[in-house]
Amino acid sequence: MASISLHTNHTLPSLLHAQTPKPTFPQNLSLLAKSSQSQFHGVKLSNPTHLAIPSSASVRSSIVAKVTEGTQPPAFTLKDQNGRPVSLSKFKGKPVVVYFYPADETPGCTKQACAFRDSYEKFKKAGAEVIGISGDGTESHKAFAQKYKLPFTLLSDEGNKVRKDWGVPSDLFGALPGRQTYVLDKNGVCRLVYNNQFQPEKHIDETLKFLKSV
Amino acid sequence: MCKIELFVAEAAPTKVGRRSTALLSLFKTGQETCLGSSGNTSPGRKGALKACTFWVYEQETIRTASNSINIWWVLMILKESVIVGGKLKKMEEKKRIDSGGCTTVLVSLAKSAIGAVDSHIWLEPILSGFVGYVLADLGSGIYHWGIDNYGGAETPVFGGQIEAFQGHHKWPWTITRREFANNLHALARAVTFTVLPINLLCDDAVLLGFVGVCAGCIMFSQQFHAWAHTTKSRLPGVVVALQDGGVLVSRMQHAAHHRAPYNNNYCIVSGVWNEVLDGWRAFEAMEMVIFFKFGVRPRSWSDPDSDWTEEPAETTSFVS
Repeated sequence: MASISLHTNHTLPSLLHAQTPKPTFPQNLSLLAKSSQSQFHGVKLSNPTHLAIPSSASVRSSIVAKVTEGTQPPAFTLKDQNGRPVSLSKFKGKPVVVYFYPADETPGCTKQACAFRDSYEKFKKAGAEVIGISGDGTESHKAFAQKYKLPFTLLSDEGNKVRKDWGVPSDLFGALPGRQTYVLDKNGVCRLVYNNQFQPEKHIDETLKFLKSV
Repeated sequence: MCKIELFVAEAAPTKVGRRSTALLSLFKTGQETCLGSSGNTSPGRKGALKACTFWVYEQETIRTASNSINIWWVLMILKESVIVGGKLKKMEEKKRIDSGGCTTVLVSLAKSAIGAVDSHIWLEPILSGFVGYVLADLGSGIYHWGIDNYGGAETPVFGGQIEAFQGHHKWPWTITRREFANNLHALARAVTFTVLPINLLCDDAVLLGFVGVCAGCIMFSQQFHAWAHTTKSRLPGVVVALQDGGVLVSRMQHAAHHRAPYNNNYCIVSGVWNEVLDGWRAFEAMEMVIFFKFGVRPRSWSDPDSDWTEEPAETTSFVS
């Protein structure tokens, strides 16, 4: 049975797609709440066994999350922002942070990319590489990377094939591509999966915290 | 010297009391320019009324039997008082619309009260009224978010409102210069059309309580909005008290909406939903869904251009 750790400081439910087992939230919902804290929770899957997570993208497709902690993600070769093919196997021998995000030039994704950029030195110090993946084309990635001076690789997952292969869950009943980050160790095995659609900067905090702990 | 708010309906304003179809057509919103003499439509050229430098801040289109007329609302300083007849007519029409809206709301509330007395209930209609007040704030936020971020002047039905709200972001202070009737008439028209059939067909005290309060709050939302832009010293004490008590949207809360990134604090009745919706990132979620489903980006995702960026009132000069 998987365990899911949630930050329980908030009083309002998350708009993230519900994942099993369903967490319970405090019942003191108030329309007059004065708290200015964000109400979204990060979901960290911390059990190495295979976890059944319903995918909201399609009930008819597999309901098994394919990449979880302890599993080897499927290999891929995708084009980077310069049009060059990049394989996941190229990064074997060092930790890799692979983050799937909805789209270039959207507010959350821009915040996330800039946060990875601003902490890139810390990732390099930990010996890790950072790769961002979305369904946008190489031209879009090139413009996005140039505009925000992103020092890491952005890969173009046209058709969202790799996203589906890795089992990245969608949000808002399939209306939104999910925002999920994986940390792979030197042997290419997944060690951390973190999902949070509306607090993109937390992906950096969580992955750095994990990299420092190993 | 007097300062009056009017629309330019005459090429030569000496024709007091008459409205001519020969309207000036080249004065663009936001430009400081001069009212020229008859036939002169060149911005900046001084005509017979040298005192009539004016500042255009809103455009409306009205349709007559034979054509469409563009009206530019201007702020003007004149050496003599000049009243253009067309303006008085237009304001009278707006006051009639406002009266219609207020009447339908009052009828709704009165029917609710009578029904409550007849049915010996009081708590349910009051509660439903409160729910109406709360949901009016939510509705104002969703509507405001929609017209702030999508569409343009050419959008059917909503184009005028969209353009007006964009103009409002550039000159937010002008809403405080508009007359009460001016702030209400567009919403009053919608409220009259919506609430009147309900009043005629329904006798349920609870439903009418909800409808009356909700529609009333929506109708007055632009006035609440105007008060949220008005300095404290210029507001009646009761309005300040209602703002400070959270009953009406506060000046500080709404000011946050007029600061980059212009993507929060959309609600303008009480503002009670603002923290909730902003905390849930509800509008960001809706924007993302619309983007992925329809490929349309909201305006708040782009850096504001000159049409959106606020111009402070101090930079506008009026020459007499």
